[in-house]
Amino acid sequence: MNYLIQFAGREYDMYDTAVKFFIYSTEHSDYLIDIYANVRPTPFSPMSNSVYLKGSQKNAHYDLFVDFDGDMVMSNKVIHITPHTLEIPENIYKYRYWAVLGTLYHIIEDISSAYVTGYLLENKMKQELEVFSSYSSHLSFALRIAVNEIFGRDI
Amino acid sequence: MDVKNSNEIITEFISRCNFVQIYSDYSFSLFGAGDEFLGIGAEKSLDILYSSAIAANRVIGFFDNLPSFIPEYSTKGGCLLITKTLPAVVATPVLFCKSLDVFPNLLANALRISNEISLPVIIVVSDNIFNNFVKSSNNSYDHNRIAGYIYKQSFANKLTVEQFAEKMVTAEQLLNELMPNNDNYKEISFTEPEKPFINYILPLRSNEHPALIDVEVSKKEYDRIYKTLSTKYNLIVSEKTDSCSIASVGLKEYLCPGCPFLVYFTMQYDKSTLYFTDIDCKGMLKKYNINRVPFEYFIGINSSQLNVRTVFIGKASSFNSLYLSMLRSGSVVLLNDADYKSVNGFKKIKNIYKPFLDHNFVLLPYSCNNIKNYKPVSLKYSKCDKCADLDYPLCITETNCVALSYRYEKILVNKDLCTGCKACVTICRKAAIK
Repeated sequence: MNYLIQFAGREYDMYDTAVKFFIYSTEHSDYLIDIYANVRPTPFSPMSNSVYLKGSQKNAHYDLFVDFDGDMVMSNKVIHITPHTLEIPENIYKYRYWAVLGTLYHIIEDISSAYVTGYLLENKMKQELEVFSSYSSHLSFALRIAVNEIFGRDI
Repeated sequence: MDVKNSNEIITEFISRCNFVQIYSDYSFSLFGAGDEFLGIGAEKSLDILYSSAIAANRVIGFFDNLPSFIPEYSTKGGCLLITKTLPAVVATPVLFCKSLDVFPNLLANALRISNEISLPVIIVVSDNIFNNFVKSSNNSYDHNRIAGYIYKQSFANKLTVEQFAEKMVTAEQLLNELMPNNDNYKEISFTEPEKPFINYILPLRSNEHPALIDVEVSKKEYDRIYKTLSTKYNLIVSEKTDSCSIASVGLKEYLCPGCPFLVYFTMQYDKSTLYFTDIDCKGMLKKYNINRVPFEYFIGINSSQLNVRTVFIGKASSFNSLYLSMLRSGSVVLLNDADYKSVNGFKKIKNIYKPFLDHNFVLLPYSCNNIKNYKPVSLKYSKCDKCADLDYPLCITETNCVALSYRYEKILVNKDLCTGCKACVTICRKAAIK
């Protein structure tokens, strides 16, 4: 399966960690990866990257929009992973990067989340691990409908 | 983890190769000491870097637009100039890089060439180089330390044409060995990842090397880079109407918190006035639709009495007070980017958020590079109706401020980011922000 994943986020350190983990995991799952950067007009503009994952199936191609802070301006019917579509409760909003990343690992089935869980365990980030595990095991209702419709499979 | 970002790669290169002087334009903000070149501007900083390289220091500069530059003396240390657009004058070897995977090697090669030919080397990079990630990189950098030295003859002997041509021959040999150009390109692209691009151009080329001809590029790229390439270099470029294969996603646009333009336009904006500036901020220029011209143009525009009011907003550091006597009409607003105590003929404004329309020449307390922090604003939720008649609260849509966000049916103020510029206070219709 091939995926074009567009990332966007405003918290530089968290964004950096999340995208690095994702690239590292996908590389170890034998995906070919092309990474592209998008321009930031001001120093406070959101970070944004496009990651193209080339898998074994040449024909199937899916677009995923991973929006850590809700900064994307979306118009089409697409899979938009954002704190809003994940319905993240207010009390765990500060862990949204891990929730969004967990969802991404859930949608792309053949990548392992072991690197992330290992990192969180090693650094004793209990809350983050809890959020990550919870969101990497189920999808919110709205997102599940979108994924099932666009992917044509039940997740 | 074997994944690095652009910032780590460049920082590693800078620290391993022992660069003495580092300049970076405001938009690069991640590199360099920061305050060292405060308010000096790209042109003067380039002169400082170049003269430092003549005195055997290793220097590197990051420029949005590289000023015109013709080397007259040999440099002793390496001198690398990294820019996002092709320089107007190609007077030293220019290398191109469009992929972060090869960037560390290209930096190392560029430094080697600069050392060998004793001239600065320009590296033109695509948008893919900054804010990007790379899977892994194993690089061998030149760790040599060179102590600065200068002698009497350093500035006495200018480069002759013969010496320059000799250096270019050496550079061409080195470049052909390290990153040869393919001469059979039919279509090249600097932004599309799959298509090839030339690796370098040189000011003088040997006859043995055939010219690159007849290549097609898209309209967007043609305007950005190829007009210069085709006129300054032996390359015939024609336009092509193709869209980029990797489309970038639409993102909300944010200005810097406390952006002096935001505060100025919130307080003083007048629809009938024509605004000009010499500050190159893509975000601000897009939001306010201002004409970007140097101050000299503004003097010319105002050489007779005009039918509209004109205002120039510029940097205090690049303003020459002698110009004031030449200016026949129009207002000037200077942004104090170098923390000047005063500028001749200008009224110094202490509080940026108070109206000052009565004065034609004013000096605002800060600019983009030294935004001042006042007391952060606070929001009174009992007064705030979240602009119920509109789709989104005005304070967020009008200010594009990164410190304000709308979540869980509430407007939130990030006190760490808020500079207290009070642009949102002026915009709020219910006086809920104080």
